[in-house]
This record gives sequence, structure tokens and C-alpha cells, in this order.
Amino acid sequence: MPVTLHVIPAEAGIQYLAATASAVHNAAEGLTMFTLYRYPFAAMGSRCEIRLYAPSEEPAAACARAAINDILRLETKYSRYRDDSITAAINRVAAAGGAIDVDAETATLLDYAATCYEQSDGLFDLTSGVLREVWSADRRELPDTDTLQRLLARVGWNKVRWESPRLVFGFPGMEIDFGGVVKEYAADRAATLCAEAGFRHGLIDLGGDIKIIGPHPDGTPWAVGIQHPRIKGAVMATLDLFEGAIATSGDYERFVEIDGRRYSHILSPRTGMPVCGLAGVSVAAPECVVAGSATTIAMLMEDRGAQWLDEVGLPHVWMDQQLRVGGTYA
Amino acid sequence: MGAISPRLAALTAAAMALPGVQARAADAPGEHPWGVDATHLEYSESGSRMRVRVNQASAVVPIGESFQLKANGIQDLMSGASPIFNVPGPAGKTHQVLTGASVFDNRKAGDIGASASIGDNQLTLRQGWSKENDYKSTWTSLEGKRDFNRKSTTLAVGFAFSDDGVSSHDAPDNFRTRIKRDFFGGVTQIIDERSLVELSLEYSYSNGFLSDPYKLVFVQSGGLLPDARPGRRRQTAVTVKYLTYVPAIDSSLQAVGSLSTDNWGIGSGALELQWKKELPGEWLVNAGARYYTQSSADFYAPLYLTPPGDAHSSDYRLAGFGSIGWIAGVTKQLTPNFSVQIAAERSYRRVGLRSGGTGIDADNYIWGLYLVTLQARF
Repeated sequence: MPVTLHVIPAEAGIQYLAATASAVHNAAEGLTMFTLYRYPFAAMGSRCEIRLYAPSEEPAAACARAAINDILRLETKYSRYRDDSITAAINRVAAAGGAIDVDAETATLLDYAATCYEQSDGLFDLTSGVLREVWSADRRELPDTDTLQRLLARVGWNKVRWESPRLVFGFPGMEIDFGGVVKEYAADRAATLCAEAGFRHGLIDLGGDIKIIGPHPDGTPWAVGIQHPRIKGAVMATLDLFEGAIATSGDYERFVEIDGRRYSHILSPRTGMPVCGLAGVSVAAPECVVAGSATTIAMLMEDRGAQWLDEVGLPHVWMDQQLRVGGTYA
Repeated sequence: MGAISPRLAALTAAAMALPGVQARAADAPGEHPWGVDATHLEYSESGSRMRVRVNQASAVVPIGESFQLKANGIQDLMSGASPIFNVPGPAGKTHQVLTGASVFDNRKAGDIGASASIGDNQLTLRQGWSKENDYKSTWTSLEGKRDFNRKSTTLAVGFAFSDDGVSSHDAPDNFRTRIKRDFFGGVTQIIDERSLVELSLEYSYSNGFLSDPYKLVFVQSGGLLPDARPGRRRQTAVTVKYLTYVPAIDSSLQAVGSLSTDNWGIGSGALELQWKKELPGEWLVNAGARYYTQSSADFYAPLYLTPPGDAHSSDYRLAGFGSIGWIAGVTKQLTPNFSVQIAAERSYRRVGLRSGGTGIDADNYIWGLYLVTLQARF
């Protein structure tokens, strides 16, 4: 029966204290010695990493490879930029108006997005991507009201009929984007894949959206630093996580600067304008996909974001535009 | 684990439906856990009336994703005194004659069940037995459930049949038959993210020997007669439950109301209100109040002046009475796998709270119970 030993929990990737390890090894037969293996890679427009503790490198590498393959599969399947993706296929129908039957995995993602739409009072909306036409990164002036109104006419999950597995676009010119859920879903799947392969200690980090496979082998939690929204490289809070997931969203990640003012990449389906409420928010949840959508919804809720998080009841920390910090981790 | 907010419940349920997303750490219980529960319960009535100690254990074993086996065992030890009949006392007050200081009885009961889930449908079959010196019972139940509208509506229908044998200490081998058939149906509807309502209807038909072999009635014009009840009983009951989460107090409130009527003339009503709140550190507390009232059976009388008709009983359970009481409990999740629950109830039975008919003050008493449950899930 494998027994865990004392390992220094180290973000830096230090493995174990040789002295402690040998002492314990002598004391207990059949003891497992763990080494932390790290697999950095790029996917979904982010820097990603899989960290696994394992007795030897070979199984860790094989498991990481399988997990990365699944993440890349999802990136390909849901990419907005690839003609052969399901997103592109849906958007061809959405552009012309009409109906499309989707596969089972896509159907559950659409069900999930529909739940987010309901739970956010219509703010979390897969169709709001149309608004990016006027908020691209190279934009140098604010869009006028008429342009926004024309775009908003093509936004709204309530204008789409979703009867699994059939998605019906009643009128043309719409667009769907799974960007808000796929990355976190991929993190959840990768962690499950590792757990099913027998790994009990490690994490999946997809651009700051983190799913814990299990704590360090000595049972101590992973210390996750939350980026300060205004001071690059600084940490606003450090959270200890034994299990579950944490996701972060902020107006600093991607933004447009017009006339010296920063506009967030998160666009409101109500006004067509970038949201302006919280500067950054992190939410912990058992599932990364729930943590991720909760951060997005909190950003979309603007002034009511903190209140919505309290209502949901997930552990969280936020910073507003005045740099006030709040939440259960504050 | 206690109440989570309705928004989180909705998001989590949708996330769980995503293929390959696991909600919990690998060593925490999954959706179809193995489970073992053990409960010790102590019930007592004021004065020298009944006292019951119950030990119960149950286990749930999943077989694959679609099947589940359940087993349940109970042992009771009953002691104390019970009223046999009433006699007229001085100043118009009715007095009671009780059984000797302690009647002991030991009941052993158990049931096994199997559930099968196919898509949104679930079918459960259970078979149970119960045995004590003067009572034996064999029962079977079949229940079907179906979820609709993305699990926001659940319909349930069921049937139960029990075949009981009743004897007494005087003639321990003379078991007389009592048959009961129960039909029930219910609908649970999630109204919105915060509330749900449940409506259920139950109809039961019993026949055979429905009297209590230990009870007598006092006839003033001449002696004692054995308790004798009609040979058929038809009962109908309706229950409504409403549960809602109130964000302002971060608590759930639950109200359960029920009405029942039968062909013996007993009508009853009950209302229970409960407050449940989750506290930091995996604690769940609940507290509430319960009100109950019933009218007496048509053939009930505390005592009879002249010889009664075929049906007659002075059993306090068929009298007009009401009760008011409180409920309190606390549950602590010790680890993801183990939890412990402690609960207590106390109720005050009063003739003055009856909804109709007659009863006597001598049957006013207080009952209380407490229980401890240990629960394990893997």
C-alpha cells in the first residue's frame, strides 16, 4: 500500500528533502517517493502548465501528453479562427440564419452556457462576440450609438432557440463564441484524466485558470498567487488550495486603449460597451468551469458583481476600480 | 453537506453534465456512493408511559451506474406503561387504568430494496419484514419516478402492500390478519432557482383485524368489552411541501402542511415550519415547530354509559387531540466521508388542541426524542 511522504511544497518545483525521504523510507516498507514533474505548453492563447507528482517520469510524461492532447483537441474543435471547427460550422449557420444539430459534447456546453445565461440574468451570453467588430485591439475611437444599436440587434441568447441537440437561429447575422467556457472545461477534463490515470498530486494551469488534481504529497495545499490588477508581477492575494479550482478574470488581461482610457475586453450584451466594475476577481469552486463562469459573470455584473458572488456563495476575492479589495479571501 | 445556494446548485448541475468533469477530489464520494448509516434513537413519554430505544443501521451499495441495492435493519426495545381503559373517577374526572409498570417488547425489522435507473426513470422495489412477540408484518413496495423538463419536474407513483399478523400475550399463537394497501403519487416542481414545491396524495385501504388486542372499553351499565373497530379503514391524505432559500438571511425555510381524512371519522391537519442554515466549518443547523390536530373517531368514547354498538374504542390514538412541539438539530461534516447528526424533538399533546370530537385530560402527555446518526459515504 503506497504511503505518502513529506515533500516540501514548492512552486519552484523542488522535489523532496532527501534526508526526510530516506528516514521515512527506512521506516515504512513499500513507500512511494514522489518527484514533481512540470510540463509547460501553450494552448488557447495562454501559457499553460501541467504539474504532476509521480514516482518516476515515464508515467507522468505519458499522462501529461494525453491531457495536453485533449486540451488541444478542444482548442481545435472550438476555435473561432479555424474553418473546420464546430464553432465555425455553427457560425456559418448563424450568419445566414437556420438550424444546426450539434454533437453531444457541444450540446452539454450549450446547456451549461444556457444555465450561465439564466443565472446571470442574461449577462453571460455566448452571442455577444459580434460586439468585437467595433472593439478590436487596434481600435482608436469609440463606436457611435447607431453602430452599437445595430450590433446589439444581433446579440442575445434569447434570440436563439436551443432545443438540444438543435440550435436554431431565427434571423441572420449572429455569432457564437465558446471562449468563455472551453478553457476552464478543458482544465476540468485534464484533471479528471490525470486522476483516472492514478495521479493524486498535481495541478492543471491553463493561463491562470487552475484545477487542482490533489495537494502536495505531504498533504499541504498549493499556494496560488492572484495577480494584482494594477501592479504587474505583484500578487494581490495568495490562496491555499487542497482541491477544486480557481479562475481569475480582470480588465488588465486584454484591453483597448482609446484616448488614453482603458476599455476591458469583457463586453456587456446590454449596452455593447466594455464593462466597468471590478478591476479583477478570482473565484474558487469544485469545478474550474464554474469558477471561470462565476468570474466572468461577476465582471459582467459590474457594481453588483460582489453582491452576486456573495449570493452564489463561492469563496472569492475582488478588487474594484478604486483598488478596494473585498470578498471571502480578502 | 447542507444547503448550497440555488444559483450554485444550477451551475454545478450543468457543470456535472459536461463529459469528463469531476466535481470532487478523487477520494471524496461520487454521485453514486457506497453508504452506511447508523442511528440510535431514544423516545420517551412523560409519566410512566412508553419508552423506546431504537438502533438502526442501513447500507447502500451501487452496482454500476444504473443499479443500487439497499438494506436496512432496526431493533427496538419498548418498555413502560400504556393505558388499557378509562374509568369514571370522582368529581366527573375520568381516570385511566394502565398496564403494569413495564411491558417489554423487542422488535426486529428489516428491509432490502433494489433500484434501477434508466435515463430519467427510476424504479425501486423493496421487501420488508418486522417481527415482535405479538406482531409480525411482511410488506412489499414498488415505486416509479420520472424526471421531466431538465429535471425540474419529478413525478412519482407507488404502491405498497403489507400483510400483518396480530396476536396478544394471552393467546400468543393466535395471529389475526390485517392487510393494508397504499397507493401514492406525487409531483415535485422546482419553481425557480430558489424554491421548490412538492404535492403528494396518498390513499390506503386496510381490512381485517384492525382492533388493539390489549385495549378494553368500560361500559358503565355493565363491565368491560374488548376494543372493537370496524373491519375496513380507508384513509386519504394530501401533503404540500414548500422549500425556499432566502438570501437576506442566507437560510432555507421549509413549510410542510398536510390534511387527512378517513371513513372512521378521524380528520387531521398538520403544519411544520423549519429553518435551516449552513454555518462555516461544515455545520448545518435546523430548528422548527410542529402543530398537529385531529378529531376523534365516530365510535370513540372515553367510556360508554350504555352498551355500545359493534364498533367501540377508548384508545387515546383515536381520540380528539392536538399537539404542539419543537424540532432542533445539528449536522457536522467531519470529513468528506463522515458526518454526524444530533437531533431532538419535544411535543406537548393536549386535548384542548383537538379539531373535533372528544378526548380526556388524562391522555395529555409530553413526548420527546433525541437521536444520533453517524453517516459514511465512499
